Amino acid sequence: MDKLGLNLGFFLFQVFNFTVMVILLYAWAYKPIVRSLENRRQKIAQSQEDARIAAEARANAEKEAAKIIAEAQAKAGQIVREATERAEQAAKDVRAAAEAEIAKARESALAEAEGERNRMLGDLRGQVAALAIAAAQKLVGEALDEKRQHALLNEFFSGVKSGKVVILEGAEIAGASAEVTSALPLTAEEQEAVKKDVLAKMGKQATVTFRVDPSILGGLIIKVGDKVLDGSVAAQLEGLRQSLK
Amino acid sequence: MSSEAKPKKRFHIKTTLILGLFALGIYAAFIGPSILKPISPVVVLPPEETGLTIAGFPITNTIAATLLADLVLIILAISAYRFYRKNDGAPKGLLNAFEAIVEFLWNTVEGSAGKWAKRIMPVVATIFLLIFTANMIKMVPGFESIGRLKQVHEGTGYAPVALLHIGDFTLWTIDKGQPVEAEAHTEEAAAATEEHAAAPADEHAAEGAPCTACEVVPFLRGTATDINFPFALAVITVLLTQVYGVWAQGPKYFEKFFQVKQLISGGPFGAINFGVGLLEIILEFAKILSFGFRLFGNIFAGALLLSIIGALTAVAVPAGLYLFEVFFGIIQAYVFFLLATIFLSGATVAHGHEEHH
Amino acid sequence: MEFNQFFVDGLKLLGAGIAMLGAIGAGAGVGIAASGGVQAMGRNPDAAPIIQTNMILGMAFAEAVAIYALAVALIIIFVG
Repeated sequence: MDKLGLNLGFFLFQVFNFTVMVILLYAWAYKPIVRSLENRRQKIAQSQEDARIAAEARANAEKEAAKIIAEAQAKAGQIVREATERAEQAAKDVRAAAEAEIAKARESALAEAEGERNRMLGDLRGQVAALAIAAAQKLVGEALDEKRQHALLNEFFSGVKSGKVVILEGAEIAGASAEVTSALPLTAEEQEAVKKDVLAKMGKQATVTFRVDPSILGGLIIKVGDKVLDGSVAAQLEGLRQSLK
Repeated sequence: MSSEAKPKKRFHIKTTLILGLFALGIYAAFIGPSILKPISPVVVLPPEETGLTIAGFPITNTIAATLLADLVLIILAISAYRFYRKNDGAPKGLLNAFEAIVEFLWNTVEGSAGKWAKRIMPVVATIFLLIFTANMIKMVPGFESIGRLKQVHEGTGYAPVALLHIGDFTLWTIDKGQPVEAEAHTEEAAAATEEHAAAPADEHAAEGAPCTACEVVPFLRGTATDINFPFALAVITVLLTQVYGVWAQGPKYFEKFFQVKQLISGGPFGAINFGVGLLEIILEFAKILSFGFRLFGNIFAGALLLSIIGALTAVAVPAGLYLFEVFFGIIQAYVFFLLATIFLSGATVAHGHEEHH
Repeated sequence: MEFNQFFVDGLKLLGAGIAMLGAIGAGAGVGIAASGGVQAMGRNPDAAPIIQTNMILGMAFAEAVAIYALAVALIIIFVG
């Protein structure tokens, strides 16, 4: 074995050397390095855990944010809708008010125009009567006295004969309101007489309105509901024409 | 274009350098003076004495190389210790490589030994680092080539030539062009000259030579080429295997060798198993043998191959072989380490022979 | 006597060389182990560490034969 180089002294030296190296390297290298490696491994695991938690938190925050945004959007949508509705309502109100105003204005204008016309026709009535009497005097001489002629004319225009409405004689009418149309405006007494007569037929609570329409020439037309009592001169003339044919 | 030209230029420099070294090798081996010629190595198995002694203990060249490897490792360990005492992060440079190696070893040990890793680690890691460092340090130029001249007692030596005089110190080399036959009757004179061989200090160069027919005894030789080193590691490993086995399992560990239960209750197969158990004892000794001779054989054969090929083809081929040697140095260290880890960690877990039947 | 000594020395070297024939089987064994190991690792890369460990273990046992041959050769040359 000596020729192979195996020598107890050298062998023991190597064993001793190895033992010393194990101890030295363990104390100075393996222990600190392995500890450091373990620390690092732990730190990495820790930071991975932290990262996971952070990611979770971020996901939660994102979810929360999304929720908040959705809520805000819903609220905003509602506000917009409400505002739009309110604005529409306001616009509608304004328009309705304006329309009402316009209608009122038009109505009053119409009423005014009607009143003006009625007044003018009322003025006209005296002149027409004078002209008619003058013409009749020229035609038939002085056969009739002036007072009687006036009565006749009044009767012609108002359809009211000695305080009674001619066309209502024997007629049956029923309803809530009646419309009386004359060729020229009736005087207050005539209106009163007509009203009294009509109300006597229909009952106390009915209303009576008066209209002026020169196209009926004379007499009265009384409209109650869908019933029309036509005592106008125009209708009589028409009937005359029909019978003359 | 310029960015491409730069590496090309560097490549040219490298090529020139390599070709220049080749030319130098060719000059030294075939053209130049005979003192530069490579020679066939003297195959010596036992470690040679360098002439130094510590407290009467002779320092052989392999022991000197072992101490050098120890020094490198201790310096690394101390710098690692100083580094990790202060901070916890990863170090830079050489220490980082050291840490990477230790981490790799730790991962391997932990993977195979589990909770015993902390106790096994120092032994096997030291085995790896010691073999690895010794194998790497062996590659440094100057190893196995610088030494003292020694008188050859048989065979052929070479004539000494004085190379340099620095004060009293003379640097010698041997002239490969002048082989000298050793003479059997010069032994006494050789013994006399060997005493001041380390620092020859004679006035006359030719006469002051330590020997007439000389060979170089290197101051440093690869640690693993000394059979004591691998065998010391092998014996330690196998002994520690038993120690760890007893430590982990108590006296139950020896049931692996003496399967008394099998002998009593196993019938004819039990007797066979008992015999197999006894064979395991022989196997333990075989382990020492294979551990030791594997490392020794690989490294010694590598060194031998290097010097023989170096003597034959001085140029270019040894460079490749050196690369091969580096590879083998790492592989052998790893194999020794891995086998030690497997045996040690195997000893800490109960042997499963009883469960098989 | 002189001749006999040379003859014995020569036969020793021859014997050492013949002893090293044992390395053939070990070489083949190591090659087979490496081949099997690499194939296994290729088929199942996840198990590579375990396969590698066992492969190296097997290679070491196969190589042990060559190492015994080497030991015998060395002993023949230097000791015998």
